Amino acid sequence: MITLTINDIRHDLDLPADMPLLWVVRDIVGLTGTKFGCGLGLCGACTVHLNGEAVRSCQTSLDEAANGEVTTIEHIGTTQVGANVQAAWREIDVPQCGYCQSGQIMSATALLATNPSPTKTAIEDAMAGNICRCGTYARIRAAIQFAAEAE
Amino acid sequence: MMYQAPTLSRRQFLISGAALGGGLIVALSAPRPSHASSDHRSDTNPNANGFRASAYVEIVSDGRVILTVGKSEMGQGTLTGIAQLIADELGCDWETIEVVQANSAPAFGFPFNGFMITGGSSGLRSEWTRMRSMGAAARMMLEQAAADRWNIDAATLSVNDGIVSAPDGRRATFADLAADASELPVPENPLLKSADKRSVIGRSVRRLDTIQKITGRAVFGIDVRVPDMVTAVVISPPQLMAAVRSYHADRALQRPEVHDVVAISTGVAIVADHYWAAHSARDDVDIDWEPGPFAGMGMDDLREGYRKSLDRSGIIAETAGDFATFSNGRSITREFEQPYLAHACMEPMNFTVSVGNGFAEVWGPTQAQSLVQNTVGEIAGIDPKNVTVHTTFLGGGFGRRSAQDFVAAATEIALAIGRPVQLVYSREDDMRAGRYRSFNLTRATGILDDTGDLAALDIKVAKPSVSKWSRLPFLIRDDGVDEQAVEGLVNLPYDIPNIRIEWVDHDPGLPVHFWRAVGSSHNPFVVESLIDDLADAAGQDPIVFRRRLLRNQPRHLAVLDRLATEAGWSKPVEANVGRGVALVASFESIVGEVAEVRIVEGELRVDKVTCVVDCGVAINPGQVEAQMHSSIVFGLSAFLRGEITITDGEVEQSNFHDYEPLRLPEMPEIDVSIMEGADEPGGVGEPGLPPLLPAVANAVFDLTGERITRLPFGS
Repeated sequence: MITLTINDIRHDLDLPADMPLLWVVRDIVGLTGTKFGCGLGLCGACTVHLNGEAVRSCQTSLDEAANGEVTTIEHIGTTQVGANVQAAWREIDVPQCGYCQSGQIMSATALLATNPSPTKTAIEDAMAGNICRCGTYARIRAAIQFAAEAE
Repeated sequence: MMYQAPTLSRRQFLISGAALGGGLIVALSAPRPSHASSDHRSDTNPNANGFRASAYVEIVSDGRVILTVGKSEMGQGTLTGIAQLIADELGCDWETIEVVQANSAPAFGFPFNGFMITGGSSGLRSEWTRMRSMGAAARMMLEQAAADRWNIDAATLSVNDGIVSAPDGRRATFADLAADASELPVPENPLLKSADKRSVIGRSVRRLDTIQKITGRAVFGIDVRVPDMVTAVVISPPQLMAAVRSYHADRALQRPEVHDVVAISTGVAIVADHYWAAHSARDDVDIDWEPGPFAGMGMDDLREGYRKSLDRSGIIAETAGDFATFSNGRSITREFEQPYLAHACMEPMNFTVSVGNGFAEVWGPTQAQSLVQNTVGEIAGIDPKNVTVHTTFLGGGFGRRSAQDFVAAATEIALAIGRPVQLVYSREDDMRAGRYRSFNLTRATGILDDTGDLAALDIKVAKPSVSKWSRLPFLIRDDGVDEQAVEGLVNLPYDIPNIRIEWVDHDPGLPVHFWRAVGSSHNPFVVESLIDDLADAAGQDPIVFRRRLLRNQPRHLAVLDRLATEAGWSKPVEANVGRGVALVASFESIVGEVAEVRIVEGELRVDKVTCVVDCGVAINPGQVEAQMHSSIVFGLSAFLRGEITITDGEVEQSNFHDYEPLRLPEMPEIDVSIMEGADEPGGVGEPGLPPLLPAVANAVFDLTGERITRLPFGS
């Protein structure tokens, strides 16, 4: 039995220790906002926060997350930074297909939580791991800058 | 994809009725078969439930306005755009609108053939007349209800933000008038606003799906959960299209979460409680594969086949002047090779199927509800009309989701196990399952006359017929030419006296499919690279050279001139910067782009793309800009490193490390200007892509003097 907290709710899970956090969140806990993109940590669609840090949930085993605090896209708006980022995403009207945007928002929120006024280079470094096939990058960058100014 | 403008009065008409709770519904009839008589009054005014399977606008008595949208939302903004068409004529308060993604229904078919498909940048073009007519009819009925109530002439009334107002100050809300309006006849030919009266069309309203997509609430295909559902993965053959000889699944079946292992026509499916359980059991299934049809085949063999095919004669798709005898002048001949490309949608292919008792219910991200009905119907042996398609959000489409491979596989599995199933491809399955933009080889010759004018163009392209592969025969012309093979080559805007365009239907057999901009994803690369070459040979500036060729094309010329201004073309660039231009008309829009490039530490870097688009009516300028960005990024990913290759019949790429789309740090600065050149919308989702590849290639030529004739860059 592995215990972890997801979005402030405690879960006791009788699952294989090597099961990726992504599939625990999506298929066991039923939070489908976190997306499956590549399964190899290459695209960032599955990004969640584990103890406040952005991690690729497809590369994080349940065992590694044990006793941790997980936050997903469904709950990120309850943090001040997360709410600011979502408001900026809304203001700039970032999403197209939207599939990668959960991960983009989780990466952007983790960046702004530690670096409230990121430089262009800091934004590029923090967001390089999140692929958007629709090419919303200019709006993502603008929204991060907008959220930073709103702080 | 070919598309014809709808004629509302001839093939489709409006019907109306009362909604439950005292609301008004105005709906579109299903497209009328071309042989039907004009008298269709008998099926008007069905009860409200009848409208649920149609395209409708509903004025609810609580003030909401509900719209159904039959086009698939894959990022291009069609949900919002269609709502804008209706709202502009209806005159409702934008904030009261709710959009509903429609189930499959005949009313959503293209008026010319009944197919319910989203593709070819045709969504807003096909809905332009009928959606506005629907909104206008509802508004006229609401106005008439107010006029009857107040005993005044409806023509004196005005409508704004969901309120009908009389000159004397009396006002009534849509909600208040809806029940009375539902008793009135539907206007047969609703009058549409003139362009200067539009208030929602032309405005950059925010997308109606944004909030769902930033909170994790948007439901994509992979998020569908239906009662009793299990999840399946398919082990596909390593060699493309190889068949299963035998398999042993004992070890997999010992896993408690695994329900079943079944052979289907394209591989072996593992069915389990959830994705991870199914995926983890892959190594516990031993499969003996037959050699695939491409066993032993690699890129050298493929190239050899293409090269030989160019020596065969094909079908002449277009001819003008007397090319055969034309020979005086300086000529340039080049061969252009462009690779297979994967779509690599962010959401891997998936589909959910429940089938039984002569009916099927399916859920998923599809661009082609009509084809899904046919696929499921054919495999399950049921009437396609009994297949209900629930369209989810699409995590990218780019043409890939009109293919039927994942629909067919999910249906086969559902039938084999007798319960609802969701099939999910891994990224590797998605990348290696075929359905690529086709490889193509093109030989192109241009000839300059004594004055340096372009006198002749002779282009021969070898590639398979994507329309045949996609089972859309209406895209093949009577003379056998697949329109998709030659789009971007025929009907060029340039004034060229002698022209010959030829297509060789060379099909190596690898599965191909529509890929963003289809033929225009590769043919304009050839034309615009060659034009650049010829300008250079004529000693002319590439924009000046094009201006002369476009002397009879005012819209194209206007785009080119605006582009020169926006890009600062008259000012020289720094010595370490190359600048290139391309102009392409596709999907009824015209887009010109200027790219600026540098070589930084041996790597090509695209610093800036200036884009000018004439898309007729820009229904939502903010979304037009977004789609130009999207197409530019998509094209740049392909230009820089997009390539699917095979060795011994196997696809070599598997995931985003070896098929890597552009990432944020590589994003060029993009500057988009929108021009309006006609009072009809042109396409928007694709036309930004075709000029990108040649503009960048021409910029590389400007910088290095090297002509790029093989993609991706550096191959």
